[in-house]
Amino acid sequence: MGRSVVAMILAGGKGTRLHALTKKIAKPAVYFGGKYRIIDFSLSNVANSSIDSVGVLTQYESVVLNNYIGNGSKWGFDGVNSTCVAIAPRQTEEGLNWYKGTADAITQNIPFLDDEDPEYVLILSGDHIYKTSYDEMIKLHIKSKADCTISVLEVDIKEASRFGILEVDSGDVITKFVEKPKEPKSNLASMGVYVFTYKTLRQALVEDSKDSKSEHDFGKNIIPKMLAENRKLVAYRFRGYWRDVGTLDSLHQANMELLPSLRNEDTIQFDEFPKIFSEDTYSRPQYIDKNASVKDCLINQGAVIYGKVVQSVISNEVTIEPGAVVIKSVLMPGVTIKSGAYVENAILGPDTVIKENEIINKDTGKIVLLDYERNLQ
Amino acid sequence: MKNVAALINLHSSPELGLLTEKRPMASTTFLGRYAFIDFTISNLTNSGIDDIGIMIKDHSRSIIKHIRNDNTYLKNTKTGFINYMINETGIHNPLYNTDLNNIRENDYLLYDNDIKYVIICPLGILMKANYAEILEEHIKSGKPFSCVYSEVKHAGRDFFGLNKLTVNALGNIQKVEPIDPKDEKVYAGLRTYICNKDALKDILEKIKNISNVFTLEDLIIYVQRFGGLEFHGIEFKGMVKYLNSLKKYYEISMELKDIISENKCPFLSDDWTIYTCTHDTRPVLYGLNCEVSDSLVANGCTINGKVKGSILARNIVVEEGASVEDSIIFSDCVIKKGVHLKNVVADKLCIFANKTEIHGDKNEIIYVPQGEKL
Repeated sequence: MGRSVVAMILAGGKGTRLHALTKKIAKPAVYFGGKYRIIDFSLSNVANSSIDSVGVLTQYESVVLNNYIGNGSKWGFDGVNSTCVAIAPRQTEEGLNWYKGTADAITQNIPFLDDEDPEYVLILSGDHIYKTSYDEMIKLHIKSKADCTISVLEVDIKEASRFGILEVDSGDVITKFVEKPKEPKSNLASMGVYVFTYKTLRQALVEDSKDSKSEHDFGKNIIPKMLAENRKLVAYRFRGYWRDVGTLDSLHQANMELLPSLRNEDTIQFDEFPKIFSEDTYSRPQYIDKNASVKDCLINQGAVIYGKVVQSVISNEVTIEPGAVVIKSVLMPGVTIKSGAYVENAILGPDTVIKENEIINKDTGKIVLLDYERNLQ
Repeated sequence: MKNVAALINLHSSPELGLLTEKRPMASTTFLGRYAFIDFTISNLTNSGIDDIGIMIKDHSRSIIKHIRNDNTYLKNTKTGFINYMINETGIHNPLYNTDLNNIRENDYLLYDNDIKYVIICPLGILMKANYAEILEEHIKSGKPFSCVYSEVKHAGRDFFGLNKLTVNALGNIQKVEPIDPKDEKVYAGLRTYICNKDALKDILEKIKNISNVFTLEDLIIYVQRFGGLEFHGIEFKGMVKYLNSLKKYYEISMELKDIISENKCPFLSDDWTIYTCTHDTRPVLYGLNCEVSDSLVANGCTINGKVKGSILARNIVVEEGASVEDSIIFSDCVIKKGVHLKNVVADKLCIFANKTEIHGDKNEIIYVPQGEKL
């Protein structure tokens, strides 16, 4: 018996604008919020939508990400008849094929989808921060008898030229899709989240794979082609917190938005459904020393704080020694701030060590990244 | 290790007063995110032993809920397993609900030809026990039974309830007797026994004709005095803590908090992970005006008030204007504005409101039962 919905998460992105953070790991595996990795949000959203079959399509530096995904138990996908599998490009009879585009990544995994035999396929990106259940979107897709439903976000019209923009009629049926238009006529930006009727998607992908001029991309090829063929494409209006964390500034800002001072009803609410699942390390509870000062922070278990920390996100196994000061910064797992050091407006990659009395980025007003090899960006 | 089975003996675990009135010590919260049984199981799995039986005396639900999955603790869930051993015939007759009857009732391991050695581990005695090394010494001794002991100071004060051992020059146990309240420096038996499986099977068969209500400790004393069996003594030289009352629970928790801060706690060292049931809770949120010092805090807490010298378990809310000092708070408690707690042990799910002030004393800790709304 086939499944109703299978989710396919596109997680092969390199994330070049995150510099050293993605030197050895894919962007979806980058740490976020003291305890999470970026992909936890997509996988938790899928789990919270009662979808029990998910393929995660990895490519760039996939070892860490594949290892992290494992059998999907972190998000509960190790239950009866559940499937969670990381699928990297592989060698076939035709040779080794890298995923040439978002659509090609799905095309190369048609055998996986055929095995799962779904009625609908949910395709989403693994590098966005948001909390949702896709139930409503899938219901809309079924009710409107669409071939494809695209989740859209209403953005500031001045920002619209950065996105794939959809034009819709009064019933939210999509009439036009333009990738990064110079003069946008709508503020409905595609979130890169699609629900397809599988039969239609399969046919479109097979045809696209034979088109030598195609870039094999959903935004550039598949969606425009379906519109040209008068297929029914519908917009689903997403309302809520959604962040693209593709740059150092946006990654830093999204982390800061988790803190009490910037938290409001629109930001991520941890304790409410849907819950974000993640790896829970076997770390000790965090220890705050008698001479420490901690204000406006999010701190994960395993951290040991002897110094002063203000408005910062601190991951597990971080040590902040006596006399050290950390302000408006994001410290990833295993970071050590030695005694007397000062860090401001920084993202410190895993296992970075800041030396005794070293001063990082004081009063510059810019965000800097420092990794364990001490490459400053 | 393929030829070793371990039994965790919950029949002999100490009581912690009101704290263990409705739950066993095994699943009682300790140091913010652990339960006591985590330390015993982790000692075993860190020693490479993954055939584990838990001899449950009572309150099985609480233990099963905490253990949840074998994969919380075991490295391989196909080659290893955790087996819940419940003495069903003893449930309605507490006199017969003994550890020895539990082994008889759940005698699967006695007939397992692959098992040569059985390790019986205690609960409530904290130590970083490497059972692989202990077993090696047992095998070297050539004796069928070994008992682990430790030289302790202030025995009457800190280890009352355990036995003291007399060990001869050959390292064998000559005498076993209860620790006296006046005792100072003694060899304290750590309720840890290593047996050759066939010898254990024999002794269980023999003892049946003498008494059906003997406990393991009774058996040790009996065979020492009348049975002519020689026990080898294995000395454990690391830190040992024994918790046998609510007061001791509080004192040892606070003592360990202090040495954890200096990374000197052997039970929680970097090379000896303590595995526990995880709840996937978010990191701790510290508000703009909070004041937190000298405290262990587990994930899920939201702190806007003052916390000093305390241990906070999961999902605790300390509102602005509230204070918690020198206290241990179990999970899911709410401490509302205007509340001040000092020298308190608050059980799970308590709500403190209405400007409540509860001040205990270091020597007179106040215990607040689970679910209280004050």
